[in-house]
Amino acid sequence: MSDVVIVAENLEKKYETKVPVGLFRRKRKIVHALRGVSLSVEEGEIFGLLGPNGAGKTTLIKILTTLLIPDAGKAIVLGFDVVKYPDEVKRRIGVMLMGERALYWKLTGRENLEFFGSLYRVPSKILKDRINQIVDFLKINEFIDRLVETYSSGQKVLLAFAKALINDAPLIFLDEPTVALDPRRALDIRQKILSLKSEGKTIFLTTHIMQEAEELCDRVAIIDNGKIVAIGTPEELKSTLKGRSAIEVDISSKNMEDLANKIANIDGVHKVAWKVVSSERGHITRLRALCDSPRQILPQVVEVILENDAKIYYIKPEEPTLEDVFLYYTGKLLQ
Amino acid sequence: MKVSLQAIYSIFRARFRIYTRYSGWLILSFAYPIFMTLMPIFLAISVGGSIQTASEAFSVYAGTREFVFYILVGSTIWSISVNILWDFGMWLYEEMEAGTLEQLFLTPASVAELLLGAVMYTLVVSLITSFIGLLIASTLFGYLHYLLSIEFIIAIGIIVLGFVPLMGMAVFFGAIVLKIKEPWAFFNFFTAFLVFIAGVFYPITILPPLARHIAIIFPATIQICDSRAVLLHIDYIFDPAIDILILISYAIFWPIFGGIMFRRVESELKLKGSIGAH
Repeated sequence: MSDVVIVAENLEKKYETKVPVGLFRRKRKIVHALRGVSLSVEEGEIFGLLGPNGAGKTTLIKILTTLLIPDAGKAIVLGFDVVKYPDEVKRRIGVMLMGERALYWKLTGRENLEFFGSLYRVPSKILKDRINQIVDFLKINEFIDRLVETYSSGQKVLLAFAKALINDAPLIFLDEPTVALDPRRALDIRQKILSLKSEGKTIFLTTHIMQEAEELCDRVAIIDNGKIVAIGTPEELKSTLKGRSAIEVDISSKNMEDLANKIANIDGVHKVAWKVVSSERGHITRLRALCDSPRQILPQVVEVILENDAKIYYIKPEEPTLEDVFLYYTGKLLQ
Repeated sequence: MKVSLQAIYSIFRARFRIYTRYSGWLILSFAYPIFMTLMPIFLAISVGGSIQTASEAFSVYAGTREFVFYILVGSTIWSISVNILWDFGMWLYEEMEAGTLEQLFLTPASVAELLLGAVMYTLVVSLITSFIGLLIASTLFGYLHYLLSIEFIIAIGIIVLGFVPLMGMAVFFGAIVLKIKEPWAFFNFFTAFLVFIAGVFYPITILPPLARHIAIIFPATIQICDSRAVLLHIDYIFDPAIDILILISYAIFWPIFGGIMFRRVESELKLKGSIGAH
């Protein structure tokens, strides 16, 4: 049996923000970022925290990496309490947080890695070789000796990823590692994450990209509004849909709210949600309906759409995904 | 607490590299202490009519006619002290703005390492530029012999001893910057206040009694007054031994106090989740 490397028990976190009201007055606002989050991560697995922006993913990763102190609950990372022994935790983890803002733009990529390597107390003799290994591993040779200010966003993210590897930690936290990357670079990063796992490293990653979680993660926790709503392997999570799958429609309608309600009222449709996505046609609405048997319900969905003078660009029944699991538990779509 | 020299040197080297990549940095760094010294000298000459008359008037309170060198010592030490006091806080502020502060807090680097790394840069640059400024001004005004005397080495000893409490205060100011997120108003006030209170351009004996007592709270006052006392053979604040004892007690108090306050603010920010916010 594998060792447990992360244990979180009933973590709670609230933020107080102050909203300006007029010139001098400010109104207090409490944001409940985590509400009793519990989870555990085993050694050697890729564990994904999947949720929309503002769900509490970064708050959780900041607690686990000692940047934040929880209001209540407990977190143990590699056997150390993150509040009582933050230095012990920090020595043993690699972290990619804030992507491109994590770097010194007036230094070269190599100088950034040397700098952070020294702060992680990597001996000088080892540091040089390790940097070369990381550079080869990530194939960033072409720009590593240029000033970071000349990098593209994707190159900066790659360097931030390299930084997370500098102390050769057994546990690596990656916060939205592919968020600013083009599809090819994102695929590269995903492959690198998989090869880190094959080296025996444990990866804790947050993402709001469903395909990423599905492709990479051994287990996924779905987080929404500060709560873990489901946890398990992607297959286990999809099995909670009990055979339901989805219909996806790219659509143009003057009254989406009304149309979505009408589709939700069709017999056999359980949940309906929609989001605006970018496509070659510009910004369009993508609606997803979770239902018992999509092929049978499809004609009725088309009929309702056409009755409402909406335009269909694309419609098809789909195999269940983690997006449907998210829809099932929260009634919302991820992105 | 373990302190890694590699980590300290790494921060120093990174800062040095970053600043040298801004053009004009080096010239301005050397020019600053020279102009800071020349300003009050010309003010004194214009008020006194000539160096001789200014010297006579000045000696009534200061106990020496060498007012140019007197000001030179004061402004040089003040310049280094202000840099040390504020550089850590300003560096933290720059890191906050750039977004790299959280990354530093993610590493196992201790507050002492961050401070020493940041201050080492300031210390090296300030000492070199100030010494060159002092050398040029001393040559111009004919005071080079002071820099070649044994008293100059003793004065350096006093100044270096004063760096220890200054660094402790720097950690305290760093904590204030982390907490209030906007250092400029405090910095502007304090820089001017230190010129006024520490007797940079005049002896503290001409200050009102309350101000004189407040002046002694600041290690820079003792550094300035006692360095002048050694070099120009004038009065110490109290007595050489008492002054040094006060400086040593500050050297114990300020680093401990600064460290405690920094830890408190760090914990508070970790609770609020605002380490990287500015």
